[in-house]
Amino acid sequence: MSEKVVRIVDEGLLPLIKPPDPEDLRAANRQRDKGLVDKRMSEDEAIARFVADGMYIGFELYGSVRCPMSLVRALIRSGKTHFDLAGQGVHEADLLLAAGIIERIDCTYIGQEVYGVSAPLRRAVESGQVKQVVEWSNGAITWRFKAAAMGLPFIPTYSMLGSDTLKYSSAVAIEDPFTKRPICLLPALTLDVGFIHVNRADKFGNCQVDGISGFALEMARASKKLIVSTEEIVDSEVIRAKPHLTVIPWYNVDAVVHAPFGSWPGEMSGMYERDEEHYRMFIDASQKAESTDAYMKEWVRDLPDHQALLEKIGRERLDAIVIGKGA
Amino acid sequence: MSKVMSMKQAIAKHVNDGDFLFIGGYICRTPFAAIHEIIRQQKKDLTVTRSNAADDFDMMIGAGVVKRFIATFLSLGFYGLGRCYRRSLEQGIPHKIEVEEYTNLSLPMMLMAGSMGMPFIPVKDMAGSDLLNVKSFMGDNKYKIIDSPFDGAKTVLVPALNPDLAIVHVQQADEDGNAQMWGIGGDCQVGANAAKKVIVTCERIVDREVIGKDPSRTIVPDFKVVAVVEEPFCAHPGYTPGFYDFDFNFGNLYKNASSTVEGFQAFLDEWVYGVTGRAKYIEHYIQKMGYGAYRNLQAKFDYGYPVSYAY
Repeated sequence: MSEKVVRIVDEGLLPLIKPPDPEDLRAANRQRDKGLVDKRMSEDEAIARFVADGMYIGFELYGSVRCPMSLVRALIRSGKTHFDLAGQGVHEADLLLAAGIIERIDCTYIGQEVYGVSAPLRRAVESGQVKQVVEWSNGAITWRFKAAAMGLPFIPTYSMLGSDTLKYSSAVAIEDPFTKRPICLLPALTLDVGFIHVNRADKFGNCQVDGISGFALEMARASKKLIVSTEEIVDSEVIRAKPHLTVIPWYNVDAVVHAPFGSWPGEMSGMYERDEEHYRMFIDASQKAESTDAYMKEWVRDLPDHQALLEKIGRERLDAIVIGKGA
Repeated sequence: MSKVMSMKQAIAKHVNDGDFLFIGGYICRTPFAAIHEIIRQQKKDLTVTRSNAADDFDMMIGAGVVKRFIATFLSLGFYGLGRCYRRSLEQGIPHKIEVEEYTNLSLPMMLMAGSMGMPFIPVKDMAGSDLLNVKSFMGDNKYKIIDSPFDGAKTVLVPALNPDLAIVHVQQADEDGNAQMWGIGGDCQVGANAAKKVIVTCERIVDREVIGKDPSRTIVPDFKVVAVVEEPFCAHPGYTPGFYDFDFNFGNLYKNASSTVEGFQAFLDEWVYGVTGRAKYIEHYIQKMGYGAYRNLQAKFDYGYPVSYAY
């Protein structure tokens, strides 16, 4: 047997927020009900049942595409707090940071894309409200989920090598025992609860995504509990007619939440465009803590649920972004 | 740029003696016509790989084109073990091939690592088995064991595979080689993308428009592809969802034929050397088995879906 101790050639400076624990995920999967059970429930019920203070959570999205915003708002309203957070972040991370419920972040990117750096992130980190930010590349966080999904302790990649992203991460670069070249190892990452928004799902949780699939496939399989929100709930027949679009199978899903316009003000491929006007309004508001608080009160805390939000936005405005109507 | 050519041209141009080949399929969508052409052209010293090898690999081993086999297992399904494979290993007929054994999980993961540009991948499934004790031509590079730097646990690493060439059969592709597949996938997608270049064989060539309307089905992008061969019925006696079903009678015929050296040679003479290509093979099949047998394998078109999964 060719056993040997690895030669570490470089190492991130920051402690690992969540060490790999494939057995933990296996145990959670064993306990899941694999039957075809109707898992439909509201945002509030899903969060009440599956989310607790201090959990490690993650939201899947691609820029502002397919972000589970109705779940983000419900989570903030729930009053639960002290979370660790993984992933890319745009609007959803801003709201969570503005709400002050995030303690540590495994961060690939949080920003406002064309509108620049996220002001709520800057305030939360500079004030010390967020206690630790660990850097990863966008690919790295997906591969960390992929490693967990495959039951592996880590996955190798050339990403991050030779950059300061490695320095401010918790990754380890070793000498590849096959080629003797440096290779970066990414530890598997398991979430206590994952949140994913999809185009359509059946009541059992078979989920389909149109357009970019981001890291939905990997994160779904790396989550001990998975809350899915969906634009439409359809018959299983509809799912079966296009099996190649099913990125998440029912046995990975714990809750199915019906949330039309669930990605608003972000967009959904083939369904509706991004509400640019609202984005700009938020960006302006988010520059100062006081105006951010006012936004949070008006658009999150003072609304009882997603339906109330849709009524506040109004039919006319929603129609204007629907593809085939106004857009 | 159109990469469309005949099977004869594609194999002559892109398969070199001594190459390392990934050949996709598993009863489902096996590029049999390409395998027959490789045998007809008497290629030599090939290293071949795929998880779940079947009658296709058995035939190549029997025909003497294989030198090395990166293997998981090889069987004829419910017709039992591969007769040619067994004769090669037990009696050196036509010669003894070298075999490096992995599992049905580890090998696709090695191809996945190759397709993702990773040099190796950790696996869980070989530890504690004799697969760690028996090494063949890959020697010490068959696997490595390290202490995980995150938790100190002993971890088995297997190397990425990057074949010289992949040959995959799909339902449809455009002239540039954007290839679309449905039904059972096996390690076809990772194997094709791990290879340095790809020959795509397909049931039908379609417009780029058709590919672009259903992008989730595309398993190989055109820049990987060096040849596109339109070859209907290419996977026979295997099946292709939406086109034709598995030919049980022919599976039985191959089992019986390959049970003896003479029978196997007669099979090659009749079905491989005796025809110039797949069109003649179909003609011979219809002459011998009857048009009804050929017609019965064809799938009914299923109007309910954008693509047909019927057999």
